[in-house]
Amino acid sequence: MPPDAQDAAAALSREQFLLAREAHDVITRRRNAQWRIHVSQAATLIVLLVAWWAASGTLIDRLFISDPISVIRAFIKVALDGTLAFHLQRTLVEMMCGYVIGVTAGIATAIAISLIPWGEKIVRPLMIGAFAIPKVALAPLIIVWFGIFLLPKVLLAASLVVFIVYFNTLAGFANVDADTLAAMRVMGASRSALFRKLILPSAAPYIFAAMRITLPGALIGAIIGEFISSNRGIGYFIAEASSRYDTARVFAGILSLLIFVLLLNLVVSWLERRASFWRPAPGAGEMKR
Amino acid sequence: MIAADVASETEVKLKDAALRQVRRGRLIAGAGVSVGRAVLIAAILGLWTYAAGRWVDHDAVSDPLAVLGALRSLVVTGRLWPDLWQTVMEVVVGYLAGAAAGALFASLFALAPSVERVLRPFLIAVYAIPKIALAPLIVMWFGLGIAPKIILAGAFVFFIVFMNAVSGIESVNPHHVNIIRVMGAGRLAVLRKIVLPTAIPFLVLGMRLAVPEAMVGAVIGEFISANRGLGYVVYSASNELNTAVSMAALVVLVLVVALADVGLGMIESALMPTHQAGREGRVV
Repeated sequence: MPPDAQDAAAALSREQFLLAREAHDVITRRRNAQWRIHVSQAATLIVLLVAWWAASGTLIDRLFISDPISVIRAFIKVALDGTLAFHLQRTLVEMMCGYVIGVTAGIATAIAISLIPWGEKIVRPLMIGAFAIPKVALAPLIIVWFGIFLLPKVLLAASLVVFIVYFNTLAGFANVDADTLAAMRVMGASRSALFRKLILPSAAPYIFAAMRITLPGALIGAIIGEFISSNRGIGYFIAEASSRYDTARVFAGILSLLIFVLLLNLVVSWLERRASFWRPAPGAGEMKR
Repeated sequence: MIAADVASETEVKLKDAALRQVRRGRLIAGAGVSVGRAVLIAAILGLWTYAAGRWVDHDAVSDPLAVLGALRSLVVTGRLWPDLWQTVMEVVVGYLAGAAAGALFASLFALAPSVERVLRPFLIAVYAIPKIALAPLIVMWFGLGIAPKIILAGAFVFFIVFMNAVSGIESVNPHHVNIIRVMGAGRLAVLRKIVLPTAIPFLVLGMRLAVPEAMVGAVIGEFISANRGLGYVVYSASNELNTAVSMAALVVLVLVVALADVGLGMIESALMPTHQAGREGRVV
């Protein structure tokens, strides 16, 4: 090998070596930063729990804030003796029934209204008005109308779902590409073919976005109904414990609700990943609650 | 020359005629929609009046005239004002405190991204809990007065404003920040010239979405324990099967929310005449 080629090879390998080292450094630094964040998070959690534990009984009456250990104990107790499952099961049923009814009714109403000429425009002020009523405030009346069993909670949950699904479905219909619609018409597509092949698919992202953002609403509706009158459900469990000033149980209820919601989110994102067409247009109907 | 003039004149005339026809079509459609709305509302009110006492128990559903009468007597006897005042106070104070805290925390996060990264999972966890579930706890802590309602309203508002502001800060384009940094901008300049203009529409959107939520917080607080306020009137009247009064209070409650929304919309368009981005993503 001639000397300058050897030099070049050495330089190249040196460069490669430097590059590799640099890359390694970057990765290590990033990993370290990530690790530091996790450590800080754990530290924050521990500090919060210890502060809570130390403050209870000294700074603040134990009656009001209980303490972490009692909360965990209460949680384990209700989780093991089946109390939690008993209440969560009822809440889940109320929520899911209300959700399914709300989504179905929202989509069906949007479709029916779109079939009537000027229909959407005619009902718009009414729908906006009904949407604007705080559904929570309706709860006492709904209890008066539909009793104190499953139905009022289901309807409350549905009422928090139906309008958002309705408006989003209509937004999806409005989003249909006019050129494609015209082209399909020219090719002689029937109304049902237009609906199945063009309108529904282009509205689907909006409908799915609405379905995702209304899920917590359904849970809220069920819980409000349980607060106002019930003898079962996680909302009842929390309200009842707080009326007896059993703070540990209140926190245990809230903790279980938190776990319930996180599990629900996991299921939803799993479903979203499974069905890849569940990919809403960015920001379509996005609404934070 | 003359021929061209005549041609353009006919063209103008034709265009005018076409425009007039389009306008007339629109006018007819507009009239049709108005008539349709009037008929629909009349039908609903008529059906309600007819059904009350015939198909369904009058005590349960009342009727439009009775609701109107209840509203009138609430206003005339002055029974409404203390309740209205109480609820408005709860909503306004809770809203202002919650919105201010939300904006403040979001800007702290913008200034210290490392804090944000550490606290993020905690915030997501708290955000995930339906705030409603905290109502009994807050009533337990803060008693039966006005405080727990303000705090509930504030908590509802805080999270919406905060979450929207944070997503506004997250949607800042890092390239813009890099460019302005390279040009020698300091931290404050980045905040003022890039972060704030991007985040403010999100913040405003959050503040508008939060208005009804403030009302929801106050009403829930009044449901759980109160002796005053519109939510209390709805609740206690429906317990006495006095549906007309309950609905009259509901009407007032919706009017308050609608007025607040209109007022906020006016402030919004006064503050950001060119920025309509805040409207995007609104369901209605």
